Amino acid sequence: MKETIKLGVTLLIIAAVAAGILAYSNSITGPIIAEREKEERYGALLNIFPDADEFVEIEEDKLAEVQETHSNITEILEVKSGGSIIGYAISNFAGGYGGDVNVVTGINATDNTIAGISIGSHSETPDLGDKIEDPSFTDTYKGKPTTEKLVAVGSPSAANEVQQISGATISSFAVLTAVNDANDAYLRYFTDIEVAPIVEETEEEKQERLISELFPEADEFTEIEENILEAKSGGNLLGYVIMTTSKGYGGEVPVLTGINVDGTLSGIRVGTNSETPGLGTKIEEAAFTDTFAGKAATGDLKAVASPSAENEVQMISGATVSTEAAVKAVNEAINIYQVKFTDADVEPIVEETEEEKQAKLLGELFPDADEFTEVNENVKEAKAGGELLGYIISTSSKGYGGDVPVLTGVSTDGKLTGIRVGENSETPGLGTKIEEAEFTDTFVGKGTDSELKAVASPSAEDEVLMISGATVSTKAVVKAVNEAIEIFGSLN
Amino acid sequence: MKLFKIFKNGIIDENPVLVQLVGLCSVLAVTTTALNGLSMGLAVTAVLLGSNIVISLLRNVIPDKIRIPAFIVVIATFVTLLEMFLNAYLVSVYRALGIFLPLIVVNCTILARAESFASKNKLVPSIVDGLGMGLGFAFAVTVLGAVRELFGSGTILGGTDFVINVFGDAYQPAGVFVAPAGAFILLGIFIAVFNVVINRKKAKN
Repeated sequence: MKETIKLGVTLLIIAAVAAGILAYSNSITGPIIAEREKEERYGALLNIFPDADEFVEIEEDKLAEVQETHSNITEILEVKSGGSIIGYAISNFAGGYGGDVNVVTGINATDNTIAGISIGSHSETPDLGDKIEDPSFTDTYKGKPTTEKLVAVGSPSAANEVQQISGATISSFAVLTAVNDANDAYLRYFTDIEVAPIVEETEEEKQERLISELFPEADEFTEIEENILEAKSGGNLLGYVIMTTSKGYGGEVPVLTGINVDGTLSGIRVGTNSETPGLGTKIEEAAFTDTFAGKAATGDLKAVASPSAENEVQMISGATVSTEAAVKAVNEAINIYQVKFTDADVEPIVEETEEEKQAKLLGELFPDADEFTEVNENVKEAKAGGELLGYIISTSSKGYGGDVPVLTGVSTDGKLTGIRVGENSETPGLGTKIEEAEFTDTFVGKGTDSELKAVASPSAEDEVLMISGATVSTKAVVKAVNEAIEIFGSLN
Repeated sequence: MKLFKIFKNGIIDENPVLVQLVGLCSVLAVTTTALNGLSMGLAVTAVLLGSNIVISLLRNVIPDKIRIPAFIVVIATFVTLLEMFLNAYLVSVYRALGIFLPLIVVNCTILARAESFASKNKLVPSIVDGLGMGLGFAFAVTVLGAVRELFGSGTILGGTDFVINVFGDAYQPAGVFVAPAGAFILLGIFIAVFNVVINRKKAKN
């Protein structure tokens, strides 16, 4: 019994001494380790808040509340120094050029300014979009007020202006969006500063608002036909609102065109669209839409960089496709107006159906043919008065934006009568040049003995035009035509 | 003269890795590069030295019946100390050794020296024994690491600023040398060579 106690006590003493030594060395190394770990975890944040000694996540309930209105926010940290809150670090993301750009916005709680921002993970273009990481860019956010909406400009000077990186508009804008969103969340949930309440506008409410903006005096809008409204005030007809759509860069762009009874445009409004944020979406802004107001509704509007003539409106630099989509939609609306409400002598613009388009293309390849008969799924015979003129072979090949269908006309003597490119998803304004005559005409008269290839300046018998900047689209067409030539060969 | 014999005993005659074959778990796991091997070897040497000193000093205090738990407490204390200081001052080594650093506690080399030498000898011989065994261990794992690194990654001194790409970029590293199987094979070859050298020396004498 006595021995057992002695053994226990001895072991206890050894363990106690060991514990004492460990406790002491822990008191030396502990702070160093903690400091390093903090730096690893909060390295970027410590650059923004050099005085901070603690970063604490806000309560989950509070974060969930913020995320209800600001769904892109992923984390909010209270920044503390000596136990009191000196600011907030808000992590969120916004869509950039190569995906989401993660941004941490540090905000000084004392004076509601931005303490600094830090760019987290992103996939922006190396050497271009990734310049958003450069201090020369991020530093322009330092000290900016959270109470004003920030804007990005080439050479920032005003209090609410930050840097826009030339050549990296979309990446810059992603950061700007994220920071503005973080600022808004901060003001709403962490200060007493009054902010305009978030209006959740339904698509219908937005439509109504846009329509009434076109005719502010109107007290009544009646739908007289699908997509056409009459605007009336006290029973007097003020004008019409015509809804049209057109294909932009990111899909359909809906446009509302207001036309006064005197035949001038009261204005236009662009509805919800999927154009590139910060670039294509400029077509929604007054700087663009206002250039339409007062124009005569003659249907020949065009966009130029510095509009001066009566039929010229603003071309948004860097958003050609979106601008042209909006202008096309307006011209269509004017056409509808002219046909329906004026006695002007104009042909209505008719959207061809897929079948009509196909028939038209066939006719273009064999203008003399009076009959097209199907041989098999991909081959049609073109006949005139029962005599075989040639074949139309449909093939397709993968282009830049998906399959590119091509119709190839081959006459019986083995010469191409031409090609036509069908409905495709190539880049508007670039890849879609494969539809244009300048390109397709270079195929006319080519033989079917050898494979065709595309070159910048075609001269030889087997060479066709390579569209500069649309290599993939061009090659897709050439491949499809070569396939058609092969099929033609197997027909004989 | 006797001290030198104790020292040589640890490095050659009873080398913990090549002759006693103890503590092989960490030997196989950590020796992917020479630097990792050396770090592990020095860490083991430090713990071995510390535990040999303390256990030698306490050899008349620790009752025989509880000597093993007492040894373990001493060894664990030194390992924990080492872990703390490496974490604080040499993070790269701390990270490279990873889980095998705390596992030094159960490295049989150390407990074996405590049991068979330090608990029966005076302070100075125990220090020499700790150094000899530790450096013998370090020598074996460093060489093993260097060879595995050379064929497995094609480099010498990888992980340092002086890294040399021996075979050039075209070299296709032999992955087996980095895997545990390669470590076993190399260790076997290594032991064979070591034995041949030792035996020739003995025959000469």
